[in-house]
Amino acid sequence: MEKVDVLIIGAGVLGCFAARNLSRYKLDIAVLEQREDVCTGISKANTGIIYQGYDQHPGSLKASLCVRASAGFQTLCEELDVAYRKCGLLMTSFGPRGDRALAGKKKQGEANRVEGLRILNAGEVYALEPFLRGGISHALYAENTFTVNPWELGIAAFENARANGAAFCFREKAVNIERDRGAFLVRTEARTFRASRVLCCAGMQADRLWETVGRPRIRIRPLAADYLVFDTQAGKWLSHILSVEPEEKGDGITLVPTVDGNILAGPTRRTVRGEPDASTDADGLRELKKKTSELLPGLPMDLIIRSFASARPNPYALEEDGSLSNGSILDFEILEEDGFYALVGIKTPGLTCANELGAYMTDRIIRSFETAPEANRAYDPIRKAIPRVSRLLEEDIGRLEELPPPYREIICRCRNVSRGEVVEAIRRGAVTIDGVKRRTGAGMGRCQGGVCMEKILHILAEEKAMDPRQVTKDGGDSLVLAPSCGSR
Amino acid sequence: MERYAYDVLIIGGGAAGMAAALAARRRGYRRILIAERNKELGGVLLQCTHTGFGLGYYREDLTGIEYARRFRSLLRESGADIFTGTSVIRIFPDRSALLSGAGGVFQVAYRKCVLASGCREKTIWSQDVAGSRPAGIMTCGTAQKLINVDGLDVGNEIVIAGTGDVGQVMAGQLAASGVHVIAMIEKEDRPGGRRRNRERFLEAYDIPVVLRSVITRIVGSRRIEGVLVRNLDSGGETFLACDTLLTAIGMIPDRQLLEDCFPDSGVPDWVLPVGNCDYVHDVVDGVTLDGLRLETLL
Ligand SMILES: Cc1cc2nc3c(=O)[nH]c(=O)nc-3n(C[C@H](O)[C@H](O)[C@H](O)COP(=O)(O)OP(=O)(O)OC[C@H]3O[C@@H](n4cnc5c(N)ncnc54)[C@H](O)[C@@H]3O)c2cc1C
Ligand SMILES: Cc1cc2nc3c(=O)[nH]c(=O)nc-3n(C[C@H](O)[C@H](O)[C@H](O)COP(=O)(O)OP(=O)(O)OC[C@H]3O[C@@H](n4cnc5c(N)ncnc54)[C@H](O)[C@@H]3O)c2cc1C
Repeated sequence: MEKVDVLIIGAGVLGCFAARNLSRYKLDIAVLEQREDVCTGISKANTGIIYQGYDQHPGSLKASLCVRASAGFQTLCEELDVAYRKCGLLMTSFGPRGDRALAGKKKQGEANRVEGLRILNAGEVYALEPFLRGGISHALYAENTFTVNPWELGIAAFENARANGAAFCFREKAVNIERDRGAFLVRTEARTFRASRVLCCAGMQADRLWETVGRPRIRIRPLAADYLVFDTQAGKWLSHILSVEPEEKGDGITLVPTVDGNILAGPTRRTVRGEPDASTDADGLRELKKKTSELLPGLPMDLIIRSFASARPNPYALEEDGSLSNGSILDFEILEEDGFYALVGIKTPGLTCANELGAYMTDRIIRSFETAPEANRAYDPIRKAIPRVSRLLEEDIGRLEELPPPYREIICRCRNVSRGEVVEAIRRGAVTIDGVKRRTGAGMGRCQGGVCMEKILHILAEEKAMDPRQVTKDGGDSLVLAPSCGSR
Repeated sequence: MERYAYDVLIIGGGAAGMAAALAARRRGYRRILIAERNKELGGVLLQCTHTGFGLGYYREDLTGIEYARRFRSLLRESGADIFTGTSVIRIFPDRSALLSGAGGVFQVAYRKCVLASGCREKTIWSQDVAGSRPAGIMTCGTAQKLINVDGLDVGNEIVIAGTGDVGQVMAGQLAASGVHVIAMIEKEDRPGGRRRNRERFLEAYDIPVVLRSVITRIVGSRRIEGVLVRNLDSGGETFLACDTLLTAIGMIPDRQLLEDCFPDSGVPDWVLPVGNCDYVHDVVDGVTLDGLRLETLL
């Protein structure tokens, strides 16, 4: 049996940031993750917007964390060396109903002390976004809205938490939790952990895991989301996040100019029965195409290079009679019983608030100890990213010369990713093709791995001293090469 | 940063780039540089173990590898400097370029730039396809490289989207090696590709071709388990179980370097796209002739 002070279940962006914040104290911290890598759940498939906090109800935990997170976001990115794009957000309206909604959001934002919100008239909007369709009435401009590659944020928190002493255990699925004399026994298939505090950050599974020990209070009902990704050639069509306040009943759409210069369109809202499986839906994709071309007429749809799906962990309150509340719970809900904590149904703006939520949970957990844990004097908030050839190409070509020789061999032609980056990604924890992709961007360009996948397969095999036939795309039995079935 | 000066910079050392080097020499240029990303010159030819190359240019039926080898021996005549393992990562409007490779990161200034960077294959993700994104989906070109260059197998039960030449080559090769090619799915009302390939590969191995049909959905959580195929006329959908999906749905000239350098304007006359980077050719002989024709254009 392994004894730890705090056991975190789930290494999505929330689990990683909780670990990072807890590692400021002298505690034994372990993080259990069922998959082979961090950020493989909804933390890798979301809209990637760092919101300012105009959309949250005044007085809510969401509002206070979001506003604080937004204000500190640049500093966080500097500490963790994470690329961000300060693109600002335009929420557009097309008529009086939308105008009223914008005014309401602005007022709400001001009540939350969000700074710098402005209502722009049509002329001002078109000056910022010349390719936008006609007929805009106004826009709410949230100039300090950012976008990040969400997985980069989570991976950075993971590396930083690990450097500060938190232990990450991969391929360890918590299957059972029970109370044990004021502590908890958490069992995976292979191991048992005894922890005095448990923090469940299990995303879509958080409700079920909570109920292994806690009183049932919240159930998650997933709401699926589809996305489209446009090639960097589409980048010139958009420079701000666009979000549409629908004039009629129905859903809006959000378009994001990403850190790497692509456009991301989505999410749709789609109810799913049973477990969401990250499959996209034909109608959803069609709807996104239609709405995108309505908003940016002329943007060629043949610039689409990828689609993907995700699901929001929508939380509903479980009523006395066993039924679920009508609407989903609006605020972040934190469950706690005797040292067992759970973040259940953390959806937007969960990415924005990940570090703040981690800090908030750390405070609560630290205060729950009878004798306050000592500070970890060796704690260092700084983490350095893998040098990226593509980013130096934009920022400082001269520095390319300073990189070691493996950084000169370009592996991914679309994104200019070098062998050095791939090798370093593997040394830092990537064990799959997708793990390398999330850490380096290799395979995310328009050829979608057509050139680099084969090379990365070999580098992975070499670095991990395994047969290329064992390399997986995304863990489990997602073998890149199907095992040969004999006769040949 | 080191800076070298050349008369002609050739980006890519496939059939087109090699021919361009000869053309440049014949035109009278002396300082010629070929930059090739891979370790060897030859480009896509190096993964073609099948015959059918050189019928026009050499009047012989060679494999792609033999064609490349034969052409490489002509290259000495060009006197070109050859930097293999070296990528051109940027070209600039002032007629310079940034190169990165075994020799370091350096700049090259030039008078003319031949873009011979070949083409890339369209991926299934550029199509209207819903469903999951599991392992076991790749282009025929990638599969060809894995099989012919690396000696690996890609799968056992194979569906091929599209019937382009590369798809037919792969279908035939896989079938010959005992892999089950379940079907090729073609949107049009007859298979694409050249007649010779249809005879040599599709007909010789009895590869089923499903016409007027497209793949609409991918099924499988970790490794692909099948595809949903819709008939464009009837609208009916059929599920085909498979463990691998290869795609041969078209190629697009790879001009990313040009797009980055001239995002809004036209291409200046000192840049000459050639070979598959100009337009996608059916046979290598055409690419070679294209490259040689630069003698009058450079
Ligand atoms: C469609 C969509 C769009 C969004 N857009 C935004 C946005 O623009 N801005 C924003 O701020 N937020 C956004 N969010 C919210 C944000 O993405 C989430 O709040 C955040 O990613 C939640 O992180 P997580 O760590 O809880 O989830 P996950 O990433 O799902 O992590 C949970 C982890 O727990 C692991 N796990 C589960 N069960 C077990 C077990 N039994 N044992 C071990 N491990 C286990 C899983 O494998 C997984 O890795 C969006 C969310 C969605 C769904
Ligand atoms: C799978 C397949 C099967 C074929 N079968 C036949 C056949 O049976 N018979 C026949 O006659 N023809 C066949 N062809 C057609 C013919 O072989 C090709 O069209 C021809 O070889 C293409 O030559 P290329 O030089 O234009 O392109 P490529 O061979 O693709 O060469 C481009 C080169 O440029 C390099 N490069 C690209 N970008 C950079 C950069 N930035 N920096 C440095 N280097 C770079 C690449 O590494 C590559 O080596 C086939 C083609 C394919 C793809």
